[in-house]
Amino acid sequence: MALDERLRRELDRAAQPADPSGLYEHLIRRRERRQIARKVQSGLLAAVVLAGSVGAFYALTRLFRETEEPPVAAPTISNGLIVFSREIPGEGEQLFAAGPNGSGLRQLSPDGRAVYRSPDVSPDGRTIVVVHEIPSFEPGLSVLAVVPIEGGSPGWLTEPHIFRDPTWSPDGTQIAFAGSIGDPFGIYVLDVASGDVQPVPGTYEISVGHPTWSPDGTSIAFEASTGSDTDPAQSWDIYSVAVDGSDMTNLTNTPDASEIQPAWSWTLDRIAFIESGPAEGALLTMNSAGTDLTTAYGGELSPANPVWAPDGTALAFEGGSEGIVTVQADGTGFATLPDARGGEPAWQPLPQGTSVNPPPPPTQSPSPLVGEDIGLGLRLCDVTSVQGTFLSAYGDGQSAVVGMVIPSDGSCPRGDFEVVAAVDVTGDGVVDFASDPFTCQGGCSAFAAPDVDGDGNDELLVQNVQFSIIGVKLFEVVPNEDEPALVAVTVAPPGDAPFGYQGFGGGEEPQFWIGGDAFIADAIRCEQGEGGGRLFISTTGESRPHDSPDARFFATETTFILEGGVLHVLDVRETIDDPSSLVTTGCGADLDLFN
Amino acid sequence: MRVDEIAIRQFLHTRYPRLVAAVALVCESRPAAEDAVQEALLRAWERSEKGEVIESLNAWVTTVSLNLAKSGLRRVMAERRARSRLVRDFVPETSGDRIDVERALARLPRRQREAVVLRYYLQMDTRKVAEVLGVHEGTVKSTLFRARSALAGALGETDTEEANDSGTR
Repeated sequence: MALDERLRRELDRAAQPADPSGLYEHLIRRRERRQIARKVQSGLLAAVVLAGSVGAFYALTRLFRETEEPPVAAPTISNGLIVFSREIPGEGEQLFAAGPNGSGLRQLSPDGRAVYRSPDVSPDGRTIVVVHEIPSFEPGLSVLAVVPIEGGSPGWLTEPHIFRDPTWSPDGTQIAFAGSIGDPFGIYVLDVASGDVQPVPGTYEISVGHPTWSPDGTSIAFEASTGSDTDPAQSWDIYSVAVDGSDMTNLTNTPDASEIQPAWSWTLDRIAFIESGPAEGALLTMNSAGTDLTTAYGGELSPANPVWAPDGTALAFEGGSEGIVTVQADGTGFATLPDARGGEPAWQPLPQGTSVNPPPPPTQSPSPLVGEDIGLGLRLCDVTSVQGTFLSAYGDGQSAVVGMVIPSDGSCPRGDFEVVAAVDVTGDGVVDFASDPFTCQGGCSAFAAPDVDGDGNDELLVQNVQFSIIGVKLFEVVPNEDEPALVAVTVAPPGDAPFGYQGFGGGEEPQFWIGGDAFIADAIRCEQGEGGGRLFISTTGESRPHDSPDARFFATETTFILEGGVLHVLDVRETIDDPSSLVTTGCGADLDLFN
Repeated sequence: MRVDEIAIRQFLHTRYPRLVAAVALVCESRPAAEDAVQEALLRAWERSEKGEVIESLNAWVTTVSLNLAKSGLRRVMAERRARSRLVRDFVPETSGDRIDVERALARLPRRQREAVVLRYYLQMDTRKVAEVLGVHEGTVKSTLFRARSALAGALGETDTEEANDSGTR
């Protein structure tokens, strides 16, 4: 009996009952996170933004460089779909498209709470650039993203900053926008291939917006005001400026009226704009010198955000309660698009030889059936897949799959069993190369395909642990001379030992953590390095002491750079930032499990 | 029973503190224990909302959290390396007795550890322990017998009594 009494007494003393204060509210939040995590796990959320930013750069570069001559002023260009954004209650603003007569209305952006705003269609008619927001962004922040004209997931072109009114250059290699990337608000030009952003000098000293390219791509027109934004009598004019900042010209110069929202026709070399006065406003056009004004619409609707039909024969604009409206350039033929509620129209150009109807989406790899041999010479079960661009040279329609290896008894194993990750770059449903088998620690699945190193090829995150915090392993496609390989990324020796830490040992395959629970918050993200190259940052933290009102948050940030399947530790630092408060953009994939 | 906000709040203020402590004794990780119990509670909640009947929330959550803590151990082991910097300067206060008991417990096979904690810390009778662990009552008794023998040796005690007790609940 003495032993029993001692066990009761000492276990009671050793045990530390938990404090349930505030736990119910925590459980509510945790439940919400679980639901988000499930979405991610099932591939829905990951599929939304998997294209990867720089992957999109390269894909787009290839896309447009194949067109040697800019299709801009080709006389045979015709008019395609009208693309516009529409507010959906509870779901933000979605991207829609319809024919010029309103036929074939369709949603282009994936379902989900997100914003797709200010679309503009690329000169070859295939790609839409939008201002894109997701709920986890801080208010006011957005990214530039591209969406295929046939609809689909957005690929991020930038990290989150302030973006307005993106517009393609005539040769499709650049995108001008109004905004700020940490600098003063102004007109900037993004080079699509390199991701380099340059300001248009002189535009960040005044209030500006709505850039639009000249037909030859050397100048940009925009709305601007030298007055104060708080002045109710502030006057706006249409300016033009060379991309290098020279030749700044006020084209309208009307102190008593405002001209805004210019749109430059590459076919007619005329600029449409909204004259905003005490009445409803009017849609006017003028030549590129600011003369020869004509009225295209002066009716009761308050016109806004005009855009030219690519062939220059008509204009579309936002007509208040009427939604999207079209009118001939000479002011005749006013028409509303049926069911086209929305705003900020863009008009798809159709260069010679292309069809009004967009091409079907690229063939996606079919999800392998349980037990099916998908080209590995062995059978898998519990197969999950994620779309990405793992070898950009192969184009779209690529997927990575993760599945458990079925043992000889034919059962689908549970618990710690071997798992294989593999990549199908040709989109035919048969994988082209695979990783070595590795042991799954529970709940393994293809999790996301972010571009961690910014080389245009996505990496693969495999979920390795399913708990309230998700453990992921990182794989990279290494393009060897003979055959590409999918390798589990390792940490270059000596790992983080020189920094006095032991979290990422040299030669080891690291496991990263995403999510949070009662005391822990973990995240991964990417940042552009000062010396070039993209940084991969793992933040892991916890509040301590547990169950104490005096608990403080302590976190460690480990910064890596990924090269050839090896992560090099660049820095380790302590921080008091709770990772759940960070914008965890996940290197182009949305890995934010906190919001 | 129906698992709703009232049931959850009641559980949190009555059962949760000691259950976390119990699971922590078994899995040797307080964060993993908190995580496991909270996860089990959420699962009970979700299942109840889907119409599943949970006879005893306490027994259900105890069983599931112990099971979850098993898989959670892997995470703890992996995390331990990654978090060594974070936790190395956070050492809870200990007493000599506590270290003895914890060390002795840690040397037991997991099932024996579970049985000991449920029996002596949560003060369940052997029938209840059997229910939670999903084994026969006789198995619990023999498990406890072996566990006590091992603990007696480790703690320098003599195992003299108690095999067929009924416990207190």
